Amino acid sequence: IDADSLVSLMLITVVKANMKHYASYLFMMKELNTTDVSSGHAGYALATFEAVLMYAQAAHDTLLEISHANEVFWNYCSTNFDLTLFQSRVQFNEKLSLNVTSDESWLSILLSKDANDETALVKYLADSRNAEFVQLFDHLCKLSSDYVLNDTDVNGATLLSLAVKSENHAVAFHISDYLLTLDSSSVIEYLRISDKWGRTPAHYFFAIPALIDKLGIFVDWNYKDAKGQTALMALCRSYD
Amino acid sequence: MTTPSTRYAQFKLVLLGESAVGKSSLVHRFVKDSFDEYRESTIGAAFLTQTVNVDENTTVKFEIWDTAGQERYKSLAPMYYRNANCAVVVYDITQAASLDRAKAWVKELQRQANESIVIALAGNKLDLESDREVDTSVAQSYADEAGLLFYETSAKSGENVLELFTGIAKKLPIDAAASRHRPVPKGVDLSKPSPSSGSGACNC
Repeated sequence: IDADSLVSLMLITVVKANMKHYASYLFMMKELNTTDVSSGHAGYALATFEAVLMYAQAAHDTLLEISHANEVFWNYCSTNFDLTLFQSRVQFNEKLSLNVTSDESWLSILLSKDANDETALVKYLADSRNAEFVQLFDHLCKLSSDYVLNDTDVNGATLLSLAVKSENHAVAFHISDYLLTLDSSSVIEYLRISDKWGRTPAHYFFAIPALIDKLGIFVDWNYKDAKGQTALMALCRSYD
Repeated sequence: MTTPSTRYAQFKLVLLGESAVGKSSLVHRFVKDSFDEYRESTIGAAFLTQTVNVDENTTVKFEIWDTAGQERYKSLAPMYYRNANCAVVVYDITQAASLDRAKAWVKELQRQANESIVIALAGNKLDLESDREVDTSVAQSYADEAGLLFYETSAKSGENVLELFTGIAKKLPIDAAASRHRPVPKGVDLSKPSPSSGSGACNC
């Protein structure tokens, strides 16, 4: 952990602790102390704490704006659907009566994760809300393939893995079609991403066998999961 | 207690540089090459201590403070370099832009940090000679002009890492620091017995 990570972690801690009078506590710890707290571990910890308070104060308006927008966005995702919502930041602001001032902030909201460490995309998939999933997926793909290719659920399963596991044909094919527009090395790399059981999307292809034709040439069929089973073996076993 | 023939002093060193220049690796190399008892693992790479022997009778202990280097945290740097005796400003010899950032930090230190602060400029990633974008002579003449110590280092191979920290140690006011007293503590000493305790203390 370097100073950058430490400051970020401390910021979350301070926000989550939701205490009042931080400045007074800092003052007391620094000034009403019989030991020297300007150096050593204590000094470093206090400097980090002070830096975070300063950052929170300076970035107050931006943090408040993003936090508020995040809350509205997540409430919206859990109760409504409106396919025009995700076309642009301007529309996003209009629909939800927000004032998100930069595309960067807007994107960070779209990619934000809930308390279960899952993005809206993963949640849409879990709830089989295909239309919303496709809308958001396509939008993020336009911005950068990295966002959707790196997205996983809490178990490390990729969006494709999740779609296949839940036998969501429409979404699995939608993702596959997108993958086929990328260069082959990206597809091979994506299909190599394994979940916490060491399984790649191909380990679940038995649920939607048509994907073998579509993506089979990019799959490393010899890759073994945590139990030593290859994707090919998983396919054969499904006929037990 | 220090005997008359040995000198020991402790100094605070801040580390500045973009995250990709390898400042953490540089310190890791410096600290890891020594005995385990000097390693402070609780805050990982953010806060570390390490000693160097300047000569037979002189030991300097560095308390190394990593500084949040991300652009969004740049306004927090003063929290870290406050009371620092020395600073290592790191750039990457394969990234010309990282030297510009380092220069900005040097300027800030010279304007706002302790007047007597010893600043060293470290051009890291010397092992990537074939990708070099910053000439040694260019950085050297900038360092001379700005009054900085200058070393090109490789955290990977370890080249010049100890030399960098020893070089700084030699520039520090060891005698003044070794004899200085700890500041008188401020505030209330709760372990001290209350003066009003005991018999006959009643003022009525």
